[in-house]
Amino acid sequence: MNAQQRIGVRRAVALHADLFYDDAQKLGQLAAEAETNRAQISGLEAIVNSADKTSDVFDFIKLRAARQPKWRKRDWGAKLLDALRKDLHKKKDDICKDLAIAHKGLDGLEVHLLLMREFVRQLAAHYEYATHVKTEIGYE
Amino acid sequence: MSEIQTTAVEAEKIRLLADNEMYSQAADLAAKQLAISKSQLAGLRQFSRSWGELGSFIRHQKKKREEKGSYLAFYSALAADLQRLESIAKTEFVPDNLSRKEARGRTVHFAGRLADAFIQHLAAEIEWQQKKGQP
Repeated sequence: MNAQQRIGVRRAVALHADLFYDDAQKLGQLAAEAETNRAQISGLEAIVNSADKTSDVFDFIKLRAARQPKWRKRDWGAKLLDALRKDLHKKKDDICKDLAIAHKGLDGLEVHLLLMREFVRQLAAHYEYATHVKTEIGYE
Repeated sequence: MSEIQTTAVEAEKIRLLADNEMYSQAADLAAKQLAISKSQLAGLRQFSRSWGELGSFIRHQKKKREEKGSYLAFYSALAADLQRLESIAKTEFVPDNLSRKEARGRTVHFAGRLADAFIQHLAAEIEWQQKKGQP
């Protein structure tokens, strides 16, 4: 990927991030409703920000959902997995097609990782807000 | 045998193979063979970092299962998958012009890297599938 394509990717990811705001909000609220701990969301942010493969993040979510009942509450872990794996995969393909970069190679992988990071960043903010509203204001 | 160095290009290739082929191969196997215990998964994880030890563990389990019956299908399928993985390592990472010893060294090194990714994906998928839908 050259410098110009890199700028194009950043711009495309930012544009797509606006489009998945509602989905990230729903999942952030779901995580709060499932009473997922803040540390778990921080763990998710850490893995998504440091992963060099999308499958590392998918494995992390599967193991959390397998080992911690809160991740299975209201099916939020499975829904998160679907959002990152299927929905963002489609968005990654769209971006790669628009920018004429190889969707199956490393460039495609980088685009998918950037989308996942943005999605989880939004989700974490919504989770934080939903948790705050629920505990401080008593909103359900 | 001198230690095999992984170049940046090879590391990128491993990364892509682990994210695509290894991930879908592990999901396919998990979909077929879910009847595996936690202790069996722990054993696989423990040996996944060494190609030699992983191979011995699977051969041993397969032999044991042939007598006992349980988990035989799982270990037979796993052994076949690891053979496929060894072929990928040879095709992708072992040039034709090497001595047998060098070629074997590179095969073991890269097959081991791929197997590690494969086993991590497999164990996560099986653990998740076994708990999916439970409260």
